[in-house]
Amino acid sequence: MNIVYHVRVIKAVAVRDFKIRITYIPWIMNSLLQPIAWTLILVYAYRSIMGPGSREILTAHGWAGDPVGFLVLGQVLLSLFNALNWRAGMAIQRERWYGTLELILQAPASRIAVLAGSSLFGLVDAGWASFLSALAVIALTNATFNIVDPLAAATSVALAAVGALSMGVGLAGLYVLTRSAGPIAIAIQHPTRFFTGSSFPLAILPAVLQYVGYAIPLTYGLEAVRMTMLQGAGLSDVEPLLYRLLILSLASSMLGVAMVRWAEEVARRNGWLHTF
Amino acid sequence: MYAIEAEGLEKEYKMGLISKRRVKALRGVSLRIRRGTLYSLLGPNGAGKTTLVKILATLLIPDAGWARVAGFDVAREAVEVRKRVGVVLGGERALYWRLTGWSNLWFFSQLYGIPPGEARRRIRELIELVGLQGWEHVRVENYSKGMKQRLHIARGLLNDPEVLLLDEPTIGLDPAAAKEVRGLIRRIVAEGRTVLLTTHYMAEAEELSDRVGIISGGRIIAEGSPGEVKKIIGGRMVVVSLTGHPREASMLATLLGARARSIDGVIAIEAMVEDEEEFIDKVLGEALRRGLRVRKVEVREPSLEEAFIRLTGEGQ
Amino acid sequence: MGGYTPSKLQVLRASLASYARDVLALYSAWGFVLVRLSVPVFMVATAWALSKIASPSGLVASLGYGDYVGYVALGFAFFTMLTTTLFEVGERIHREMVQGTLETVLLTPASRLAWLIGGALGSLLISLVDVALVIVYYVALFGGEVYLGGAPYALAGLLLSLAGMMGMGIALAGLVVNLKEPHAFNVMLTPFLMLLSGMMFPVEALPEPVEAVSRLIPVTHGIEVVRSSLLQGESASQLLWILGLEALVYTMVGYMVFRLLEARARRLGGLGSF
Repeated sequence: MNIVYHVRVIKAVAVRDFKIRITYIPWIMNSLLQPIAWTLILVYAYRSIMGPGSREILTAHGWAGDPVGFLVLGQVLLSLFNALNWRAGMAIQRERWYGTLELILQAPASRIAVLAGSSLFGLVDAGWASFLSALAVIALTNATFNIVDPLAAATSVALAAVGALSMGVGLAGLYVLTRSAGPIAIAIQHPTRFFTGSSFPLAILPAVLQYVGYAIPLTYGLEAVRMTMLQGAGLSDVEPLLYRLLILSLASSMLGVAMVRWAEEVARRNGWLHTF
Repeated sequence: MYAIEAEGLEKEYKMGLISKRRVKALRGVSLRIRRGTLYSLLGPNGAGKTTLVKILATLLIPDAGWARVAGFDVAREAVEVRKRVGVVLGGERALYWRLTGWSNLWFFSQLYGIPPGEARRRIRELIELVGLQGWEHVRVENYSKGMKQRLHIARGLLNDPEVLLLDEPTIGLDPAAAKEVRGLIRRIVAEGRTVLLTTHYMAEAEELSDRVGIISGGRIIAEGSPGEVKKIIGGRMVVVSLTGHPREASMLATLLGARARSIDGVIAIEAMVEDEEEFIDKVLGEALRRGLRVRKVEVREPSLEEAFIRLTGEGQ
Repeated sequence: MGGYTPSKLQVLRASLASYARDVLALYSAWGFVLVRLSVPVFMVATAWALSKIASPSGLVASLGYGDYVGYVALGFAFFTMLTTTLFEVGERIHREMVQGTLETVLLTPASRLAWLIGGALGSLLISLVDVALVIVYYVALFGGEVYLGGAPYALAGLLLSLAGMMGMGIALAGLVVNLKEPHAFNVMLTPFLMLLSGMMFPVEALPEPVEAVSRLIPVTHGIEVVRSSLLQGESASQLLWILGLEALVYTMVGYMVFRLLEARARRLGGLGSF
């Protein structure tokens, strides 16, 4: 019974988010067009700064593959993260904006199920938008890929999505503690773009900055996806990356859930549920 | 026997991270509400009404004291309480405006774990109960204030609660919409549920309640049936209608510690007094001395509003 | 009794003051300050990372810009400034509509254009702080250099493109006020403007028809003038003429569109749905 109840809560939250989402047509167009424009900006920037030898330059920095494919994959996963940052991460904050947070917490439903519902919708919503925009960019730029092991590529993409999702849940734990969650969510997108190496090979950064990058689950996901889809790597090549990704994702999710629970307890003691 | 019991509830809010200003919202509130009755909690703004409702709804943890709702402790058995209580917080928010009324109810029905078939049946019943037939598939952003409030009440009843907590459900509504909501509350009590209603509309409490509690400064200062609360303050209301110079009438009222109101050239001198005969004698004597003519003398029971003003010192 | 008509300057000042109050309220939330401070750092840092894989045979280098970090820093700073001006006009009208104050403002005898320009000037002042911040980051964190001798040309280019963008903004406001989500529209348009403005790369890299479109937007020429003056110490006088022409055309178009919209709103009744 309990599992059925949790599944129903997850479904109800995801369906609610979907129904609300489709009333915001400009934002749907936005989630499709933004990644296209950003990828094109980077593609033209690469062409303009590297000239005709961009493939060789990238190879010299450890990425033997099509530079456009490199950028497309970086942008797809970054868009996925950005969407989950706003969906899973801001799930609780959004209830505050709607004025429904107290009613959600007053219901006996599991908070994790509520968060999972928002995350699930976020994943689906961001997934199709990222996929379609990637297709559009590929059509516009003739990006090429080199997939030898489709299973490895699919596993890498799936686990990279898990990494993005876990970061969303982790951030939910941060956002629940502040009234400035909206601006912080915007502010977080830019360092994530930089440190995960979505727009350039991480190897060009000084070691100390690379350490920051490798503390982020998405960085591993991105590397595994690029290796399997651009360089023809197999599952055994990316296995170590995927293990690290899973460990970091688990830690991030657990931290997020613990923080949300703790924040609820503190808010119930201090009467902050409706104000912060 | 009691649907709601509370003993010595205390709650203090700390305001701001730096200043640490403290506001004591509840100072030892004790309460007992019998099953199947409507209890109104009356109080001025900031008296502690909403804090008490939120503690009973498990949204706040008290600093001291305990409370049981539907037989379960609100702090230790919060999930059991949540299953059995419905909450309607005042105001227009707390609904998904971009969803239809039906979708709002459906979503919350799932959070309460109601099986889909039963949820559909229940939502249909509730839509009918609150009179939103024909509007259930319209987005909430197109509803009037009164319709939103009725939808709130339907949402509060989704889990078929033993206890319904209504926090100022008629606030901001026009008289017709408020009347509809009051009619709805009456039907809910007739179904055998226990309702705790907070309001600062006296007439509403007088019309609906089995028992009334008056809360002020975080304490319940009077409790009983509406009639009993009016009796607690003792006195009777005397209204003497006069004509003549308004300034003289106003001086007369000040001298006798009464209130003067002017309506269509007639000045009403009002006071709640222990000995009505003595007061009337004084008014008649002073009126004669000041050249005022007495038109009518009326002695009646005070209204709950007058009792409230006397008890809380509001409006002084 | 009554009969006062406020001067345009009076209206402009009042509009500017009400904008300033709005902004101060926004900045009382530390999250907004964080965004304002951090976003430019990572924008410039991305350029710094990309500069490590730059090649002398690239277009940027062949146009004489040896330092890609400076290229993007100035591009980003002035792009942000100019597009904020562009969007703020529409967003302000929408904000006043949502607050229910638009009708009240339009009922007064105040000049509508002065009221709009007052708000735009307010956003411009805030953007100037952002520009200064990016230049400080560029110089202090990334060891960049700017030719201060080119500042008068940069200022001239900036003023002309501002006039053009303001005109475009007013014209765009006519479209935006009819949308329920002007912010979504603006967020959607921003990356495309970024693409067309040459903020991160020279517009010459774009396919020819797209490049032609990009040259119709005052921000593209504005950024080119600012860059060539501040990074190369050039006067770019020819570009200034083109910018001046664009500014004139867009201001006139903007003013006409605004008058048309106002007349339409009065004809149809309901300034609230303006």
